[in-house]
Amino acid sequence: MLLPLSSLMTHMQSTAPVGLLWPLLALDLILIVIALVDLIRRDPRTVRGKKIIWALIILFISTLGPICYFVLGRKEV
Amino acid sequence: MKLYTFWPMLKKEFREQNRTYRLVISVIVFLSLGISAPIITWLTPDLLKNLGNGATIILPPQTATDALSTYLKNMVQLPALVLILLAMGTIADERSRGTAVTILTKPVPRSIFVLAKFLAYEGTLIISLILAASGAYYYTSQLFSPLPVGSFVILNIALLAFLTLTLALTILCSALVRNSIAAGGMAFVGFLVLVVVPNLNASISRVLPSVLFRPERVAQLVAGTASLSETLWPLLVGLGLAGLLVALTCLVYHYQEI
Repeated sequence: MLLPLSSLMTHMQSTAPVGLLWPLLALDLILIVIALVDLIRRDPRTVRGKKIIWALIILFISTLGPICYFVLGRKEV
Repeated sequence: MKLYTFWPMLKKEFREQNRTYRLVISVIVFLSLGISAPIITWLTPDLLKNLGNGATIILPPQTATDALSTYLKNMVQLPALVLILLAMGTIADERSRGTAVTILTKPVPRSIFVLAKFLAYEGTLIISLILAASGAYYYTSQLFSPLPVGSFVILNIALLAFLTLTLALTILCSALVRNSIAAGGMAFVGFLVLVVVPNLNASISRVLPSVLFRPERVAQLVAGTASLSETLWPLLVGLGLAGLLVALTCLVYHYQEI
Protein backbone atom coordinates (compact mmCIF):
# COMPACT_ATOMS: atom_id res chain seq x y z
CA MET A 1 0.00 0.00 0.00
CA LEU A 2 1.21 3.48 -0.72
CA LEU A 3 0.23 4.92 2.68
CA PRO A 4 0.84 3.10 5.98
CA LEU A 5 -2.44 1.32 6.72
CA SER A 6 -2.46 2.17 10.42
CA SER A 7 -2.32 5.93 9.80
CA LEU A 8 -4.96 5.63 7.10
CA MET A 9 -7.21 3.70 9.49
CA THR A 10 -6.77 6.22 12.32
CA HIS A 11 -7.51 9.10 10.01
CA MET A 12 -10.51 7.50 8.38
CA GLN A 13 -12.25 6.46 11.56
CA SER A 14 -13.65 9.96 11.95
CA THR A 15 -14.28 10.72 8.28
CA ALA A 16 -15.24 7.61 6.30
CA PRO A 17 -17.52 4.61 6.56
CA VAL A 18 -15.15 2.28 8.43
CA GLY A 19 -16.76 -0.80 6.84
CA LEU A 20 -15.12 0.13 3.53
CA LEU A 21 -11.67 -0.15 5.08
CA TRP A 22 -11.81 -3.66 6.47
CA PRO A 23 -11.13 -5.44 3.16
CA LEU A 24 -7.98 -3.35 2.74
CA LEU A 25 -6.72 -4.27 6.20
CA ALA A 26 -7.72 -7.93 5.72
CA LEU A 27 -5.78 -8.20 2.44
CA ASP A 28 -2.62 -6.88 4.07
CA LEU A 29 -3.05 -9.27 7.01
CA ILE A 30 -3.68 -12.29 4.73
CA LEU A 31 -0.41 -11.61 2.89
CA ILE A 32 1.51 -11.32 6.18
CA VAL A 33 -0.07 -14.47 7.66
CA ILE A 34 0.56 -16.58 4.52
CA ALA A 35 4.20 -15.46 4.44
CA LEU A 36 4.73 -16.06 8.18
CA VAL A 37 3.09 -19.52 8.12
CA ASP A 38 5.24 -20.52 5.15
CA LEU A 39 8.36 -19.22 6.90
CA ILE A 40 7.60 -21.06 10.17
CA ARG A 41 6.82 -24.38 8.45
CA ARG A 42 9.83 -24.21 6.14
CA ASP A 43 13.03 -26.14 6.76
CA PRO A 44 15.73 -23.53 7.63
CA ARG A 45 17.97 -25.03 4.92
CA THR A 46 15.45 -23.92 2.31
CA VAL A 47 15.44 -20.32 3.51
CA ARG A 48 18.05 -17.83 2.29
CA GLY A 49 19.49 -16.15 5.41
CA LYS A 50 18.08 -16.28 8.94
CA LYS A 51 14.39 -16.94 9.58
CA ILE A 52 14.16 -14.20 12.23
CA ILE A 53 15.38 -11.54 9.77
CA TRP A 54 12.73 -12.61 7.25
CA ALA A 55 10.07 -12.57 10.00
CA LEU A 56 10.98 -8.96 10.80
CA ILE A 57 10.97 -8.00 7.11
CA ILE A 58 7.53 -9.61 6.63
CA LEU A 59 6.11 -7.90 9.71
CA PHE A 60 7.54 -4.42 9.31
CA ILE A 61 7.80 -3.74 5.56
CA SER A 62 4.20 -3.38 4.47
CA THR A 63 3.23 -5.38 1.33
CA LEU A 64 6.73 -5.46 -0.19
CA GLY A 65 8.16 -7.42 2.81
CA PRO A 66 6.08 -10.59 2.24
CA ILE A 67 6.62 -10.31 -1.53
CA CYS A 68 10.40 -10.08 -1.08
CA TYR A 69 10.27 -13.15 1.20
CA PHE A 70 8.31 -15.21 -1.36
CA VAL A 71 10.54 -14.18 -4.25
CA LEU A 72 13.98 -13.92 -2.67
CA GLY A 73 13.79 -15.65 0.71
CA ARG A 74 12.86 -19.17 -0.37
CA LYS A 75 15.16 -21.72 -1.95
CA GLU A 76 13.63 -24.34 -4.23
CA VAL A 77 15.09 -27.80 -3.59
CA MET B 1 1.51 -25.77 -32.34
CA LYS B 2 1.67 -29.20 -30.70
CA LEU B 3 -1.34 -28.93 -28.40
CA TYR B 4 -0.72 -32.30 -26.76
CA THR B 5 2.47 -30.86 -25.22
CA PHE B 6 1.16 -27.32 -24.76
CA TRP B 7 -1.77 -28.04 -22.42
CA PRO B 8 0.19 -30.17 -19.91
CA MET B 9 2.92 -27.48 -19.87
CA LEU B 10 0.34 -24.73 -19.30
CA LYS B 11 -1.30 -26.75 -16.51
CA LYS B 12 2.10 -27.33 -14.91
CA GLU B 13 2.83 -23.58 -15.02
CA PHE B 14 -0.56 -22.71 -13.48
CA ARG B 15 0.05 -25.24 -10.69
CA GLU B 16 3.45 -23.62 -10.17
CA GLN B 17 1.81 -20.17 -9.92
CA ASN B 18 -0.45 -21.52 -7.20
CA ARG B 19 2.17 -23.56 -5.34
CA THR B 20 4.68 -20.70 -5.14
CA TYR B 21 1.95 -18.24 -3.99
CA ARG B 22 2.55 -16.06 -7.07
CA LEU B 23 -1.18 -15.97 -7.85
CA VAL B 24 -2.10 -15.04 -4.25
CA ILE B 25 0.58 -12.33 -4.03
CA SER B 26 -0.43 -10.83 -7.34
CA VAL B 27 -4.16 -10.86 -6.49
CA ILE B 28 -3.62 -9.30 -3.05
CA VAL B 29 -1.28 -6.54 -4.27
CA PHE B 30 -3.45 -5.60 -7.24
CA LEU B 31 -6.68 -5.70 -5.23
CA SER B 32 -5.17 -3.61 -2.41
CA LEU B 33 -4.02 -0.97 -4.88
CA GLY B 34 -7.35 -0.98 -6.69
CA ILE B 35 -9.28 -0.50 -3.47
CA SER B 36 -6.91 2.05 -1.93
CA ALA B 37 -6.90 4.45 -4.92
CA PRO B 38 -10.45 5.83 -4.43
CA ILE B 39 -9.96 5.87 -0.63
CA ILE B 40 -6.73 7.89 -0.89
CA THR B 41 -8.34 10.30 -3.37
CA TRP B 42 -11.29 10.74 -1.05
CA LEU B 43 -8.99 11.46 1.89
CA THR B 44 -6.47 13.72 0.08
CA PRO B 45 -8.09 17.08 0.91
CA ASP B 46 -8.45 16.03 4.55
CA LEU B 47 -4.90 14.72 4.77
CA LEU B 48 -3.48 17.91 3.24
CA LYS B 49 -5.53 20.05 5.64
CA ASN B 50 -3.95 18.25 8.58
CA LEU B 51 -0.43 18.23 7.11
CA GLY B 52 0.54 21.90 6.96
CA ASN B 53 2.05 23.63 10.01
CA GLY B 54 -0.21 26.62 9.92
CA ALA B 55 -0.27 26.69 6.11
CA THR B 56 -3.63 26.04 4.53
CA ILE B 57 -3.86 23.93 1.39
CA ILE B 58 -7.31 23.94 -0.14
CA LEU B 59 -8.09 21.48 -2.93
CA PRO B 60 -11.19 21.49 -5.11
CA PRO B 61 -13.62 18.69 -4.19
CA GLN B 62 -12.28 15.36 -5.49
CA THR B 63 -14.28 13.58 -8.18
CA ALA B 64 -14.60 10.07 -9.60
CA THR B 65 -12.21 11.11 -12.42
CA ASP B 66 -9.54 12.03 -9.82
CA ALA B 67 -10.02 8.61 -8.22
CA LEU B 68 -9.57 7.03 -11.65
CA SER B 69 -6.33 8.98 -12.25
CA THR B 70 -4.98 7.85 -8.87
CA TYR B 71 -5.95 4.26 -9.69
CA LEU B 72 -4.07 4.43 -13.02
CA LYS B 73 -1.01 6.02 -11.36
CA ASN B 74 -0.99 3.28 -8.70
CA MET B 75 -1.43 0.49 -11.21
CA VAL B 76 1.53 1.35 -13.44
CA GLN B 77 4.07 1.52 -10.61
CA LEU B 78 3.92 -1.15 -7.89
CA PRO B 79 2.15 -3.84 -9.98
CA ALA B 80 4.83 -3.56 -12.68
CA LEU B 81 7.52 -3.94 -10.00
CA VAL B 82 5.68 -6.93 -8.50
CA LEU B 83 5.37 -8.54 -11.94
CA ILE B 84 9.11 -8.11 -12.50
CA LEU B 85 9.86 -9.65 -9.07
CA LEU B 86 7.52 -12.59 -9.69
CA ALA B 87 8.58 -13.38 -13.25
CA MET B 88 12.31 -12.56 -13.21
CA GLY B 89 13.32 -16.12 -12.31
CA THR B 90 10.81 -17.96 -14.45
CA ILE B 91 13.33 -19.18 -17.05
CA ALA B 92 16.63 -18.14 -15.40
CA ASP B 93 15.96 -20.21 -12.25
CA GLU B 94 14.90 -23.29 -14.20
CA ARG B 95 18.14 -23.09 -16.17
CA SER B 96 20.38 -22.53 -13.15
CA ARG B 97 18.65 -25.33 -11.14
CA GLY B 98 18.77 -27.69 -14.11
CA THR B 99 15.00 -28.38 -14.18
CA ALA B 100 14.73 -26.91 -17.69
CA VAL B 101 17.01 -29.71 -18.95
CA THR B 102 14.68 -32.37 -17.45
CA ILE B 103 11.64 -30.86 -19.19
CA LEU B 104 13.31 -30.14 -22.51
CA THR B 105 14.76 -33.65 -22.88
CA LYS B 106 11.12 -34.74 -23.33
CA PRO B 107 9.56 -33.87 -26.71
CA VAL B 108 8.61 -30.34 -25.65
CA PRO B 109 9.57 -27.61 -28.11
CA ARG B 110 11.33 -24.68 -26.47
CA SER B 111 8.81 -22.22 -27.90
CA ILE B 112 6.01 -24.10 -26.08
CA PHE B 113 8.07 -24.00 -22.88
CA VAL B 114 8.33 -20.19 -23.19
CA LEU B 115 4.72 -19.68 -24.35
CA ALA B 116 3.29 -21.75 -21.47
CA LYS B 117 5.26 -19.68 -18.97
CA PHE B 118 4.16 -16.39 -20.53
CA LEU B 119 0.49 -17.40 -20.70
CA ALA B 120 0.46 -18.64 -17.09
CA TYR B 121 1.78 -15.26 -15.91
CA GLU B 122 -0.61 -13.49 -18.27
CA GLY B 123 -3.49 -15.48 -16.72
CA THR B 124 -2.38 -14.43 -13.25
CA LEU B 125 -2.13 -10.81 -14.46
CA ILE B 126 -5.61 -10.87 -16.00
CA ILE B 127 -7.25 -12.39 -12.88
CA SER B 128 -5.50 -9.84 -10.64
CA LEU B 129 -6.37 -6.90 -12.89
CA ILE B 130 -10.05 -7.89 -13.12
CA LEU B 131 -10.26 -8.05 -9.32
CA ALA B 132 -8.39 -4.74 -8.90
CA ALA B 133 -10.61 -3.02 -11.45
CA SER B 134 -13.77 -4.40 -9.80
CA GLY B 135 -12.57 -3.20 -6.38
CA ALA B 136 -11.67 0.25 -7.72
CA TYR B 137 -15.00 0.57 -9.53
CA TYR B 138 -17.02 -0.46 -6.47
CA TYR B 139 -15.16 1.86 -4.10
CA THR B 140 -15.32 4.79 -6.56
CA SER B 141 -19.09 4.27 -6.87
CA GLN B 142 -19.45 4.17 -3.09
CA LEU B 143 -17.28 7.21 -2.31
CA PHE B 144 -17.90 9.36 -5.42
CA SER B 145 -20.15 8.42 -8.35
CA PRO B 146 -20.13 5.49 -10.80
CA LEU B 147 -17.63 5.81 -13.66
CA PRO B 148 -18.70 5.28 -17.29
CA VAL B 149 -18.22 1.52 -17.77
CA GLY B 150 -16.95 1.74 -21.38
CA SER B 151 -14.12 4.19 -20.60
CA PHE B 152 -13.19 2.29 -17.47
CA VAL B 153 -12.91 -0.98 -19.44
CA ILE B 154 -10.79 0.71 -22.17
CA LEU B 155 -8.41 2.15 -19.56
CA ASN B 156 -8.08 -1.27 -17.94
CA ILE B 157 -7.29 -2.84 -21.32
CA ALA B 158 -4.59 -0.14 -21.69
CA LEU B 159 -3.29 -1.14 -18.24
CA LEU B 160 -3.30 -4.78 -19.34
CA ALA B 161 -1.35 -3.87 -22.50
CA PHE B 162 1.21 -1.88 -20.50
CA LEU B 163 1.68 -4.60 -17.87
CA THR B 164 1.78 -7.35 -20.53
CA LEU B 165 4.62 -5.41 -22.19
CA THR B 166 6.47 -5.30 -18.85
CA LEU B 167 5.84 -9.02 -18.33
CA ALA B 168 7.08 -9.94 -21.82
CA LEU B 169 10.19 -7.83 -21.26
CA THR B 170 10.87 -9.58 -17.92
CA ILE B 171 10.50 -13.05 -19.47
CA LEU B 172 12.86 -12.04 -22.29
CA CYS B 173 15.45 -10.88 -19.71
CA SER B 174 14.94 -14.14 -17.80
CA ALA B 175 15.75 -16.08 -20.97
CA LEU B 176 18.86 -13.99 -21.66
CA VAL B 177 20.70 -14.61 -18.35
CA ARG B 178 20.96 -17.46 -15.85
CA ASN B 179 20.78 -15.25 -12.74
CA SER B 180 17.26 -14.18 -11.73
CA ILE B 181 18.44 -11.04 -9.90
CA ALA B 182 20.34 -9.91 -13.01
CA ALA B 183 17.25 -10.65 -15.10
CA GLY B 184 15.14 -8.58 -12.68
CA GLY B 185 17.66 -5.69 -12.86
CA MET B 186 17.62 -5.74 -16.65
CA ALA B 187 13.82 -5.87 -16.73
CA PHE B 188 13.65 -2.95 -14.29
CA VAL B 189 15.92 -0.85 -16.52
CA GLY B 190 13.73 -1.82 -19.49
CA PHE B 191 10.63 -0.80 -17.51
CA LEU B 192 12.21 2.59 -16.71
CA VAL B 193 12.99 3.10 -20.40
CA LEU B 194 9.38 2.20 -21.20
CA VAL B 195 8.18 4.86 -18.74
CA VAL B 196 10.76 7.58 -19.53
CA VAL B 197 11.15 7.38 -23.33
CA PRO B 198 7.53 8.36 -24.13
CA ASN B 199 8.08 11.58 -22.15
CA LEU B 200 11.03 12.51 -24.38
CA ASN B 201 9.46 11.94 -27.77
CA ALA B 202 5.89 12.97 -28.64
CA SER B 203 5.56 10.67 -31.66
CA ILE B 204 6.58 7.61 -29.61
CA SER B 205 4.35 8.57 -26.69
CA ARG B 206 1.30 8.82 -28.99
CA VAL B 207 1.40 5.11 -29.80
CA LEU B 208 2.24 3.59 -26.40
CA PRO B 209 -0.54 2.50 -24.00
CA SER B 210 0.80 4.79 -21.24
CA VAL B 211 -0.44 7.84 -23.21
CA LEU B 212 -4.00 6.89 -22.23
CA PHE B 213 -3.13 7.35 -18.53
CA ARG B 214 -2.43 11.09 -18.94
CA PRO B 215 -5.00 13.18 -17.03
CA GLU B 216 -6.23 15.01 -20.17
CA ARG B 217 -6.78 11.68 -22.01
CA VAL B 218 -8.53 10.18 -18.97
CA ALA B 219 -10.82 13.23 -18.83
CA GLN B 220 -11.58 12.87 -22.58
CA LEU B 221 -12.36 9.17 -22.20
CA VAL B 222 -14.62 9.76 -19.21
CA ALA B 223 -16.42 12.58 -21.04
CA GLY B 224 -16.77 10.36 -24.15
CA THR B 225 -14.93 12.85 -26.41
CA ALA B 226 -11.81 10.74 -27.14
CA SER B 227 -11.30 9.73 -30.77
CA LEU B 228 -11.44 6.03 -31.62
CA SER B 229 -8.16 5.89 -33.57
CA GLU B 230 -6.21 7.74 -30.87
CA THR B 231 -7.54 5.25 -28.32
CA LEU B 232 -7.18 2.04 -30.34
CA TRP B 233 -3.65 2.58 -31.67
CA PRO B 234 -1.87 2.63 -28.30
CA LEU B 235 -3.72 -0.57 -27.27
CA LEU B 236 -2.83 -2.41 -30.49
CA VAL B 237 0.79 -1.21 -30.44
CA GLY B 238 1.20 -2.21 -26.78
CA LEU B 239 -0.18 -5.72 -27.31
CA GLY B 240 1.69 -6.07 -30.62
CA LEU B 241 5.01 -5.12 -29.00
CA ALA B 242 4.37 -7.64 -26.20
CA GLY B 243 3.74 -10.33 -28.85
CA LEU B 244 6.99 -9.39 -30.60
CA LEU B 245 8.93 -9.62 -27.34
CA VAL B 246 7.48 -13.11 -26.66
CA ALA B 247 8.44 -14.20 -30.21
CA LEU B 248 11.94 -12.80 -29.62
CA THR B 249 12.14 -14.73 -26.33
CA CYS B 250 11.23 -17.98 -28.14
CA LEU B 251 13.91 -17.24 -30.74
CA VAL B 252 16.59 -16.38 -28.16
CA TYR B 253 15.78 -19.45 -26.08
CA HIS B 254 15.77 -21.68 -29.17
CA TYR B 255 19.47 -21.01 -29.82
CA GLN B 256 20.62 -21.02 -26.22
CA GLU B 257 22.65 -23.65 -24.44
CA ILE B 258 20.54 -24.99 -21.57
